[in-house]
Amino acid sequence: MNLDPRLYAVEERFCGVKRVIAVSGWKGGVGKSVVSCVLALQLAAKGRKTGLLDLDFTGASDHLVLGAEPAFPKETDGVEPHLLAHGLKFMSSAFFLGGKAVPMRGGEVVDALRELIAITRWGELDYLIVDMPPGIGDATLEFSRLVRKTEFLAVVTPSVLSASLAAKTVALFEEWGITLAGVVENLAPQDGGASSLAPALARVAYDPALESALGSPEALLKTAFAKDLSAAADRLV
Amino acid sequence: MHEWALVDSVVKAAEAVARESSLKTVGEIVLVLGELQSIDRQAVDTIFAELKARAAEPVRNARLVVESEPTVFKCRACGKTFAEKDCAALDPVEKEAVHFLPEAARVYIKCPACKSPDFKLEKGRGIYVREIRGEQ
Repeated sequence: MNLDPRLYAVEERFCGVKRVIAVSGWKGGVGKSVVSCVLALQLAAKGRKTGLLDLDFTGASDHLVLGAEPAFPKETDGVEPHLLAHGLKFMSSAFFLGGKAVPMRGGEVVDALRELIAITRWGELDYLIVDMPPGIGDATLEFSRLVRKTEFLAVVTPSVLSASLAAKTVALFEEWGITLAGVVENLAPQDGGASSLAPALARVAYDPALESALGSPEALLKTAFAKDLSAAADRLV
Repeated sequence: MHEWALVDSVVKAAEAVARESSLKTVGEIVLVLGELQSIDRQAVDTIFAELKARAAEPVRNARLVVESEPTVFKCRACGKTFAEKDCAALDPVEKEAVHFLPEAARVYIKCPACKSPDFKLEKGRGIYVREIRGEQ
């Protein structure tokens, strides 16, 4: 028989979560981690019960963006996410990796993903923001298979390399019946044309001060980056 | 504790199998614990007794049989098959990390022959259900 029992717990673990929004750019380096973190902080600051799950196993960085201690989470009937500023609940594989790089192949990513989502108890949430790894590989396929309510938020840049991949992936997701929550155009030029993908949630300009705000949730919320991105948070609530 | 979430998933799996296979009663669940994850066996028994009392009717009198599976690694770089005892012992913090997320072993365990972290976990990673026996 050899059943993986973790798969049977997933539905219950997400039953208290109203919306699951997977932030993906499919292309690497488009800024999805910072978009994920700031968007989650903004929703939490608006009083919405919000969680953030970093699923980028081999490149987890949300803990650095948010300045979260990489300590083991508490255990009570499962594993509790860390509680950050504005009541944001946060879970990441980085809590278990001692600040070190971890080499993982596809099957191992699937196993780690199943473990993390089967043991984490989110409770009641209005939004769970999920920072996805780049691409439409194992983590994306497995997460959207197991958590059927997942909507995707696409982060794109004006580069044709990002835009063309996003357009192809969005078309594929439409065929699969996966909902697109919206598009955030990052690193947008002041006078350039907007992304052709819809629905557009926000255009975010390059913010040279963003780097110095990394590690501080309150400083992040005051950046020009956050000001531009707030249109996305406003449209999602 | 962490074990609670895993045992809860075992009970949910048994409920689903009973439903799908039209079992009136589940007599026995054979659960395998991979040694790498260091699951507390006594905690598993205690939590199972607590959760099955609240489970769907067919699972309420199920017996849990727990088997232990030694961990077997196979290095993808040099092909060596090895066990955890062949590697440097993990400290308590590393052990705890692997307990939460067995894939963390790739940070702390290396092939004893060639030091590669690129190994396959052939056996003994974590939990799985080998068998659910019941009556229709």
